[in-house]
Amino acid sequence: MRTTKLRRLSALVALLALVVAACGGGGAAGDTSTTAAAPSDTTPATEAPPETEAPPATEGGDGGEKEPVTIEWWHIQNQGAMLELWETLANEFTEMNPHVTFDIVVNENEAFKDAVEPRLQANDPPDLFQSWGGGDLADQVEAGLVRDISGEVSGWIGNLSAGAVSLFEVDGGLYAVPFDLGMVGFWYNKVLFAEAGIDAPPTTWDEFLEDVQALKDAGITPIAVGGQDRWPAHFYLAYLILRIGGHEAIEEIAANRDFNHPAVIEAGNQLQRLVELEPFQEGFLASTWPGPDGEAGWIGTGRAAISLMGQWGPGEYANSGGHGEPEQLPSERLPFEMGWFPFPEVEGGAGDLNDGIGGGNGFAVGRDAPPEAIEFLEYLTSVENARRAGETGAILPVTKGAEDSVTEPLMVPLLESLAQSEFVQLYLDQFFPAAVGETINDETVKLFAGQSTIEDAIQAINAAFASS
Amino acid sequence: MQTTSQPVDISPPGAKAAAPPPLKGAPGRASWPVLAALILPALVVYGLFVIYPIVQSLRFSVYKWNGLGPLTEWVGLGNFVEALSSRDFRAAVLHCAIIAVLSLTLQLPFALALATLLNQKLAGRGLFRTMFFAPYVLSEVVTGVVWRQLLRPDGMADRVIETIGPLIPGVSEEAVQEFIRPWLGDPAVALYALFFVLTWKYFGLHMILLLAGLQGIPSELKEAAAIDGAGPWQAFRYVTLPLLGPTIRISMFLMTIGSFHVFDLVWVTTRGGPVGATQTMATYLIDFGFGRNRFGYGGAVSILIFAISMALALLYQRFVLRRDVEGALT
Repeated sequence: MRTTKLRRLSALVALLALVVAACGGGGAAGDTSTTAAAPSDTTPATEAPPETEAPPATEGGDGGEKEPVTIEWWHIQNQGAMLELWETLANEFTEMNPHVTFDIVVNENEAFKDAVEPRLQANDPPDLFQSWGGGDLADQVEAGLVRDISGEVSGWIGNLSAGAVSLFEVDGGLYAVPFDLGMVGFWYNKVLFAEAGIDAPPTTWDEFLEDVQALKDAGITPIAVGGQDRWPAHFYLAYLILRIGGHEAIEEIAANRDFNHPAVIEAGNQLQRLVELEPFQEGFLASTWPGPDGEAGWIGTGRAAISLMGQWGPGEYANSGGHGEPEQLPSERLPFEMGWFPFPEVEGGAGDLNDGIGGGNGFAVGRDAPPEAIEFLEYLTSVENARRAGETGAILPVTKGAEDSVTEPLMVPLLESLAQSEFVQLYLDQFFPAAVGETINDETVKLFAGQSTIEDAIQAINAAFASS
Repeated sequence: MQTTSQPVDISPPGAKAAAPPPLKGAPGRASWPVLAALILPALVVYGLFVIYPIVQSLRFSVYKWNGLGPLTEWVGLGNFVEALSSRDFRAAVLHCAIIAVLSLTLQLPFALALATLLNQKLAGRGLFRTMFFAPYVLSEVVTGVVWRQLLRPDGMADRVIETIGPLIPGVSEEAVQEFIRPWLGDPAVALYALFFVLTWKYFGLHMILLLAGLQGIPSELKEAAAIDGAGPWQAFRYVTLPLLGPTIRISMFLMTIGSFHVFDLVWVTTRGGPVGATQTMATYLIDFGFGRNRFGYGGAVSILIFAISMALALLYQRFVLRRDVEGALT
C-alpha cells in the first residue's frame, strides 16, 4: 500500500510538472495578445518600454527622492570567488544608489537553462540574465523578450572589446553586455608529454597526430573527451572546419544554411584520421565533461594527457581531480604542470593559427528592465571591477585595460593567442539554433564512435536546418 | 485503473435488515448534490492537471514553436510525420520494445522463480524477501547514480567479473578480459547493461506481487494434486501457474507499461547515449523536444507516446486482462 501511495504521489508530482510547463506555454501565448497592442514589442529599438516612462529623469543623480527599484539578476557564477564578487558588486551598487535593491538568483549552468526557460515562456524575463549570445539570444530577440540597449550603453560600450560585444549583437541591435570572453584550445599535461618524449607542443595537425601516437605508444591515454555531453567533441569538428576553410567557410555555411561544404568534408576526413588512432579514454562515450569519470576527471587525475576545452578547463580539472580549494588559482591546485597550445594548423588549410572557436558570457537585458540595470552593467564592467573579476582567475575580462589582471599563469598563452586573433567563432552548438547545434553535437559523437560518415553527418545537420 | 461499477452504498451496515428509512431518490444512492460535492474536487484536479495539459500538447503539436512568443507557424501534421520518419524516434520505440520483451522473457521468470522459492519454508526467508525487495524502494535516480559508478570502466562490476570469471571451468583469464567492456560506453551493450540495472531494481516488486499471489492459493489444492499423483513440477504447472494467472498478467502489464516509460534511470546513467543506443521514448522527448527548443515537435512526440501507451494498455485489457478485471474499459 505504501508503494501505491508513493506512486500516486510521484504521479501527482509529474503531473504538476507537466501542467506547470503547459501553463507556462499557455501563459506566453495568452500574454502576447496584451503585449501585441504595444508597438514596442516588435521594434524594441525605437520605443522605450512602458516602465521606463514612469521615472522620467534617470540622469542628474541627486534629483531628490527616487522610486525604489528592484533588479532581478540571474547568473551562473555559483561557486568560489566569482559568486562572492557579484554579491559584493551588487551591495556596492546599492550603497551608491539606495533606491536600488537586488534580487539575485544563482544557478548552476545546466540548472539555469531549465529554470529560465519557463520565465521566458511566460513572457516574464528577469531584468538581467546570463546569455551566451548565438541562436538562443536571436530567438529571445525575435520573441521580444530582450531589449535593444545599443542606445542606452553608447556612452561606455566602447570600453569593452568589440569582438566580445559583437557576440551579443542581433541584426544590428545589442541585447546583452559581455563580461568574459575566452577561447577553446588544447590543455595538456606537461609531465605526460615528457614521458612520451614530446618536447614541444605540435603546431600542425600531422604533428598532433604523431604526438597522439607517441603518447599511445608510451602507454598513456592521449585524449580525454566528454562523449556523453557531446559538446566537448564538437570542438574538434568545429576547429577542423575553421582551420581548413577559414572563417569564410563558416560564414558561407551559416549564410546558405548548408553544411555540405568542401571544408566540412575535409574536416570529416581529418577527424577520421584521429579517430582511427583510438586515442580516447576507455568508455569515452559514457563520459561527461565534469566529474571523476568525466573528461575533466581523466585530466585532473593525470590519467589522460590532452583535453580540447575553453578557458574554464583548468578550474574544472582541479575540481574533478579533487585538488585544492576553490579559492586558489587552478595552477596552484593541480599537482602537475599543465600547458596550453592553440588548435594546430592543417596543412594547406585557409585558416589562421590564432583564429579561434570560443565564446563569452554576458548579461542579457530583459524587456522591462529598469534603467538602473543598465547603470549596474556599466559599473560591473568598469575597469576596476573587471580587474577584480580577472584576479579570481575564473574570468577573462573584456574591458580594455583589465586584460593584465589575469594572474593565472596557465591563461597567459591563451590570452596571447586571443589577443592576436582576428576572428573568434562562437561555439557552433551555440551559434546555430538549438536544433541545429544539438544535431552537430550528436553527429560529431557518431563520428567519434566510428558509427557514421561525414556525409551522413552533413545530411542529418542539413535536415535540422530545414526543421528549425 | 480501478473501476467501481457497483452503486455507492452509504447506508450503514445493518440498515438493510431494518426497514430502510425513506430517502430521496433511489434507495441506497447518494443524492446528486452530495455526489457532485464529492466528485468535483477530483474532477477539477483531473481536468486541470491531466486533461488541460493533454489538450495543450495537442495544440502545440501542430505548430513549429520554439517555446517563445505566440504560436504562429502552423505545420499541420508535419511534426508527426517527422517523428514517425525519424530514425532516432523509431530507434527509441524499438529500445522500449526490447526492454519490454526482455522484461517479459527474463525478468518475469526470474521473479517467479524467486517468489516460488521464497514461498517455501526456508531459513532466513523474511530476510531474503526484504533484501530482494530493497532495490525497489530506492529512487531511480539513486539507483542510476550507484550503478553508473559500479559499471564504470575498471569499476566494481569489472572487478567482480575479473575475480569470478576465471573460476568458471573452461573460462580463461583472457576470455574474461575480452568480455569486459565499458558497459555504459559501448553502444552495442549499453542497452542490455541498462536492462540489467532495471531488472535489479524492479524484480523485487514483481517477486512480492507474485509471492502475494502464491499465498492466495489454498494449500488444499496442491495437496489434492499430490494425492492424485502429481509431482512437484506437475503441481506447479497445472495448479499453481493457472491460479497465479491474474497476478502474472498484472505483473506483465506493469512491466510492459513501465518499459515504455523508462526515463529517470536512463537519464541519470547514459542520457540516452552512447550515440543514442539507450534512447527511450521519454528521453527522446526531452532531448529532441525540450533540449532543442522545439516544443511543437515535443508536443507531437508526447502525443505519439501517449497514443502508443494507450493502445498498448487498451489492447492488453481487451485481450489479456479481460478475464481478471470486471468492468474493463474494452
